[in-house]
Amino acid sequence: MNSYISSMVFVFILGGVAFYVGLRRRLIKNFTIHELIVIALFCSLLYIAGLPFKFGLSRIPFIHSFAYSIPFTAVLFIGIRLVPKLGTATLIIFGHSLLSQIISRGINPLWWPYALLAGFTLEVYFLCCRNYLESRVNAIGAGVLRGFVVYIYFYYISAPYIWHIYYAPWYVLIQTLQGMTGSCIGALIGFSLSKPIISAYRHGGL
Amino acid sequence: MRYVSRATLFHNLDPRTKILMSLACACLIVILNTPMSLFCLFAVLLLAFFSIKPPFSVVKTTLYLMAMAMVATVISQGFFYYFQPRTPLFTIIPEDAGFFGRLTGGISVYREGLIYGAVQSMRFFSATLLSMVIVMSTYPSDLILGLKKLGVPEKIGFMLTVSIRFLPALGEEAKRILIAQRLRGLRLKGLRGSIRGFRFLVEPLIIDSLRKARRIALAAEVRGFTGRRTEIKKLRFLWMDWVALSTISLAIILAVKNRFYV
Repeated sequence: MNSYISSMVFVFILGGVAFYVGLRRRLIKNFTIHELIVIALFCSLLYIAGLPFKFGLSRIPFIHSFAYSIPFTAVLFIGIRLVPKLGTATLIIFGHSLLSQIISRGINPLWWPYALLAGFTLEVYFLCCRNYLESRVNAIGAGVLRGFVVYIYFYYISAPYIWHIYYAPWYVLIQTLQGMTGSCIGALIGFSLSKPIISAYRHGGL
Repeated sequence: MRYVSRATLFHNLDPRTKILMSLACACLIVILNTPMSLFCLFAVLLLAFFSIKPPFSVVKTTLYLMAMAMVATVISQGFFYYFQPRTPLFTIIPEDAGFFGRLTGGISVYREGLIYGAVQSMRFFSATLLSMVIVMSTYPSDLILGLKKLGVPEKIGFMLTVSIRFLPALGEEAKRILIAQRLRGLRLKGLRGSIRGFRFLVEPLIIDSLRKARRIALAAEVRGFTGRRTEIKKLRFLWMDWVALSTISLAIILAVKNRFYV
C-alpha cells in the first residue's frame, strides 16, 4: 500500500511541477469554450475508440496492450494537435477516464492517479521539448513515453495495490514493449491523420 | 450499462452519497484481504445489486462478466503466483528450455495461485457490482452535479456534460459514414479492410464532429455562456444519506482496525 500512496504523491508532485513551470513560462492559457468542446469531443472519441477492444478484441490473449494502444494514441494525439496548449493532454485523458467511469465503470477515485500520471507525463515531455507534437519525431517520443509509463504503472502499482493481482516481470516486460510499440504506431497514425483534419479545421473547411 | 428508472432506496440517495460510498467501497476492496471478508463485501454488494431491480438481460450480462473475470484471474494467477510456498501442478515451459525458458525462469501453473486467483476475483466481482449499482441508479447528469459539488472544477464538469451529449451523436454519425462508404463500393472485409475502414472512418467523423463542436461553441458564446452551471435540480442530503454514510464509515473503520491493529 505504501508504494501506491508514494506513487500518488509522485503523480501530484509531477503535476505540480508541470503546471508551475507552465505558469512561469506563461504557457498555461485559458481554454476557450470552443477548445473545451473540442476536448470534450475527443474524450468521447477516445471512449468510442476503446469500445471494439472492450467488447471483443481484449479477449485475444497476450496482444491486448498492443491492440488497444494504437487507436487510443492515434485519437489522443489528433486531439492534442488540434488544441496544442499545456493542459490539453491531461484534460483529454482525465476527461475520458471520468467519462468511462460515469458511463460504465462506476466512480472510483483510486484509479484517478493512473489517468493523471499519463497526462502529466506528456505535459512534462512537451514542456521539456517545447514542442506540442509539431514533428513526427516528437510524436514518436511522446507515444513511446506514454506506452512505457502507462503500462509500467498499471502492472507494478495499480494492479497489485488496487486489485492485489501480481504479474511476472517477463510478462510485464512483454506487455510494456507491446504497449510502447502500439503507442508508437498509434502516434504515427495520429500524426498523419491529423494533417488533413488540422488543415480543414484552420482553413475554413469546417 | 445505462440508467434504469426505478423507485428504490439507491435511486433516492443523493449522488454525493453514492460517490462517497463508491470511494469507501473501493478502499474496502483494497483493504480487505481475507477470503471471508471479501466474500462478505461481495454478498452485501450482490444484495445492493438485486435491490435496484435490474432487468433480466443485465443480470445475465453481469453473470457472464463475472464468469469471464473469474476464469481470467484464476488462470493469470495460476501462472504468475510468486508467494512461497507454491506447488507446481504442471510445467508448460521448463526453466532450461531455450531463450523463452531462460527469460521467464520457467512457466508453471501453481495450485496456490489458482486458489489465490479465485479469492481475488471477489474483488473484481465487488467492483463490477458496485459500478453497476451506481451507474444504473443515477442519471449521468446527477453524477456530474455530485462531482461538481464535491469540488471537481467546473470546466471538467462542463466537458463531461458535453462529452456525454456527444456519444450518441458520434455513434449515429459513424454508422452513417460507414453506410455511405459501403454504398460507394468500399470493402471492409479482412484485416486490411478493417485498417482501411478505420482510416476512412476517422477523418470524416472527426471533421464532421468538429463542425458540430464549432456550432455548439458559437451557440454557447452568442448566448453569453461562461461555463458556470445553473442548477434546476438542487441536491439535498436526507436522513437515508446520513445513515448510508455512517454505515460505510463504520465498515471502513472496522476494516482498517482488523487489517492493521489486530
